[in-house]
Amino acid sequence: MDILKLIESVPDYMNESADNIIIFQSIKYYRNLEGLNFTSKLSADDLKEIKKKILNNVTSLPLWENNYKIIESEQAPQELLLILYERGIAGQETIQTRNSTLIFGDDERFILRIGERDHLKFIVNSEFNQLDEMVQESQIYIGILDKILRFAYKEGLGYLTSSPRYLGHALNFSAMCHIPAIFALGQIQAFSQILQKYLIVLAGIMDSSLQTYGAFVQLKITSFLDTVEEVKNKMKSALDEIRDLENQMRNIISLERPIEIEDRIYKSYAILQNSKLLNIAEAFENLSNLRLGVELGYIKEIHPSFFDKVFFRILPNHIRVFYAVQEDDLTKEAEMRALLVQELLEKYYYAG
Amino acid sequence: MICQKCNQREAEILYTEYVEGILLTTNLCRICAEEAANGVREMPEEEMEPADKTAKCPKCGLSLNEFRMSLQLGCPNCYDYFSPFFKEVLSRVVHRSSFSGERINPDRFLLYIESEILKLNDKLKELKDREEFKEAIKVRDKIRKLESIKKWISSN
Repeated sequence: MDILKLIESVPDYMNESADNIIIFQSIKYYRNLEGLNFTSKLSADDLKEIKKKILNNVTSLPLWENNYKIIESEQAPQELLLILYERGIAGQETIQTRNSTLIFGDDERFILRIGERDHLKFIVNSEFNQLDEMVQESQIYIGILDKILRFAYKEGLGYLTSSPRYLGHALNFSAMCHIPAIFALGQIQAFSQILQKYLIVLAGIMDSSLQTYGAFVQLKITSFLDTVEEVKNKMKSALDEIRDLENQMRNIISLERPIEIEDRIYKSYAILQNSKLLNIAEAFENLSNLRLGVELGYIKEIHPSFFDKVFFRILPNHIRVFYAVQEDDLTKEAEMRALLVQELLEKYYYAG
Repeated sequence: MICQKCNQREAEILYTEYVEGILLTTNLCRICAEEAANGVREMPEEEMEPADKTAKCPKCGLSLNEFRMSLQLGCPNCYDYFSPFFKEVLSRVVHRSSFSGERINPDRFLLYIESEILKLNDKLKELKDREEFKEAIKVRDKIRKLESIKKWISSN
């Protein structure tokens, strides 16, 4: 697999994301084959058999259009797994246990992880405005997989998973959001109340990491005995409330604190354009301010797709692998990140 | 997601602190969350455990202690074996103890697929008329994909 090409590519669901708040969203289904122990209580041979059975049946599904890659984590180079982890294709578990097999299409919309805590994890990524379509389409595929593979299921509990919190339709939704005005005005309490109301958990930029950068946060909601429709509706309501709050705060910022916000935006723009070193936190914080500047109309010369192109590329492993930087050489990593951001800013500069 | 404190058990609780104007959130497992909250427990231990604390699932051999440490079950049978324990916990956490949905059956999406194909065909025509060929190719591919799904469902 061409790692450099993968690093340079932008996942299909991130292309030209035109929303101010939701960058992309995902749905993950957790499934186990009927009559078999969950992965932690399986022998290596049994796990091998399960992987074989799933692989034989999923590669012919219409979702790939014969355009997919299979990665055996056991044999894959560590650097590839780290890149896949930052893009949400591999999980923390993939890297830790090296037990799973990954299948994904070039567009990175559909991902299957086989042999993690649950036999199968099916992930569907989608654009900001495609929640309903994503839910419908993902249910068709997971339903087809159930017909072929027959998943463990029990009336009254739903699909049976290794962790009881996924009971029900055994899934979670997540949405990557950008909420700079909520953070800038310290509206954390109002934001936390929305999260608590819908039992939403806050996560970091990478799939299973907790580290948040700038005003980019990932919101996650788990089925907890709910149906897919129930979870979707909760997520939808939560995102609507967060969107309203963020828009209210953006109005307040524009009307009541224009100088402060303009100062913040142009300082960030200058840092991104001129700095020689950019660590990951600085990069995301300044990109967050710049994005707000573009969305509020202060900065007109940067094409919005710049933000899609830069999002994954500035992550630590993307930088290290692409520029062959040693893992402990944080200065070199920061230097390369600054250079990359400036290169992309130049590339996506336009006259408006 | 793994607990950020012990790095071993599954994180189940979003532990939130507001310190000097900054929101600090940590995803913790139940045990670390209890420690972080100075030992304030959500429910007394005796209520969480069945009478026989050494009992093991007869199919996979998972013990309740193992489960409490990892918050992971060993097999579908564990759900029957530890049923009283789960029902209590679930009703406290999500205020219900059973799931009212059904198995996801792809057949019920046939109508949706057919209406999507119709909609996309109209969109394709409009895009071709406007000579927006790049977008038209995307829509055409989507139609092909939906048609192959429809064919797959009908033939199975």
